[in-house]
Amino acid sequence: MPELKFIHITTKGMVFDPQTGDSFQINETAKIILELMQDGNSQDEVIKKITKIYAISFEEALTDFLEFKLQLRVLGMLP
Amino acid sequence: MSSLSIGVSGINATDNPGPGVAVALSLKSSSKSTKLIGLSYDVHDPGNYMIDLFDNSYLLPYPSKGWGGIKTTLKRIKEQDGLDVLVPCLDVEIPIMMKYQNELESMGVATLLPTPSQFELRSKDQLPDLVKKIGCLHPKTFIVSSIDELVQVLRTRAYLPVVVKGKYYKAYIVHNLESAVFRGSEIAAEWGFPLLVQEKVDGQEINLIGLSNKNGEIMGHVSIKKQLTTQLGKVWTAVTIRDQKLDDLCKRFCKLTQWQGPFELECIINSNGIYLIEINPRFPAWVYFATGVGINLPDMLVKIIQGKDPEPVFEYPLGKYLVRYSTEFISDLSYFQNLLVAHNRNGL
Repeated sequence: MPELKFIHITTKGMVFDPQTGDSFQINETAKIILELMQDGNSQDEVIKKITKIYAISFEEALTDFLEFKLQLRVLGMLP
Repeated sequence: MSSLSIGVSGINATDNPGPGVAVALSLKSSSKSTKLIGLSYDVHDPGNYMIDLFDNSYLLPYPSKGWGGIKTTLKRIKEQDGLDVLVPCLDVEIPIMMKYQNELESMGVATLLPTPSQFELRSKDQLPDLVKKIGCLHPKTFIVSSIDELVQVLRTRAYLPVVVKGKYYKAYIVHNLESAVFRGSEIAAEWGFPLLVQEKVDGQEINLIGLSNKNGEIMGHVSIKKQLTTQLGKVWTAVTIRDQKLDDLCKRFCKLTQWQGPFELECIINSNGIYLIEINPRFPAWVYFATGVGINLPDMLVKIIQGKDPEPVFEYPLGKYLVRYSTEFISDLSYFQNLLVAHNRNGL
């Protein structure tokens, strides 16, 4: 999985990009996913953990995850 | 032992603030015993009335009136209040202070200023050449010497919207010929010609404040992204950031110019890269933000001037937030009167 840009995530779910100064609010799911990515989990590992936390299928989690990755690219968080 | 006495100018802490009050706050935060003397050009400057910050403040004649009046006033300050170090904080003061730096030294007033050639390299009309040498972008800029020439450039060579700027101060974004003429005339009436007509670049405004020692070595720097600005583009809220490309640009600037003293790089960043818009040869008004995050550049400057060798500091917390605000305090009319009559707040 491409490397996530170095960002700060606050406990209340605000993401701060220390390079650009951009900041935005994220929901709880996005926070969990970003933290899993920051911890170095692979795409499959992130999706498996999400299926357990939210009791959803692998396919459903994969679709949501790919959509989320697209948003991260738009925001410049992923190459 | 008597305390060090430091003169600080630019104490006009208005909605378009000079850096002086922020410099003074930084110096006071490092040493309560330091004696601070405000240097002002207007009896109404708020710094004149900040009795907890400045031990006294004096009115200086405008630099455009020549060195004689400034020298006489500085000598008087030296005699009455003491003056060991001078920190000029306004662009228009730097050339005259550079020119008469030897006389200042012989009076026992120490400074750290860029050399005349360093100062000229970063002037707005020479900046396009400098940016080529340090490897960054610069908006297309036209220098005009009259309002007729401004109109001519806008009709034939520049595409609106543009930024109309004075050589030293003020910049306005204009969207049509009429407002360009209005703003250009306004700036020229206050600061004279030439004016600069600059392509407007879209992107995020990022600024870097720094300080170099007498050998051109960087002693510290802090970068911010402007979040909210006033109509004149001055910081109102900002956040600390760190962009490696901006840090590298700062290193190249200092290496090439061997810069001495404080400086600010004003930049815009977008997908094309970093545009260097201006280089200010002094501390900016937001210098206290750097102090607040642990890099007290005015204090380091004074230590360098005193011949000390402060440790460079480059680490600071990211995501710290600057909030500027308006406030009031109650002073006394006698200070106003003293400034008018005796040209100093304490009426000496």
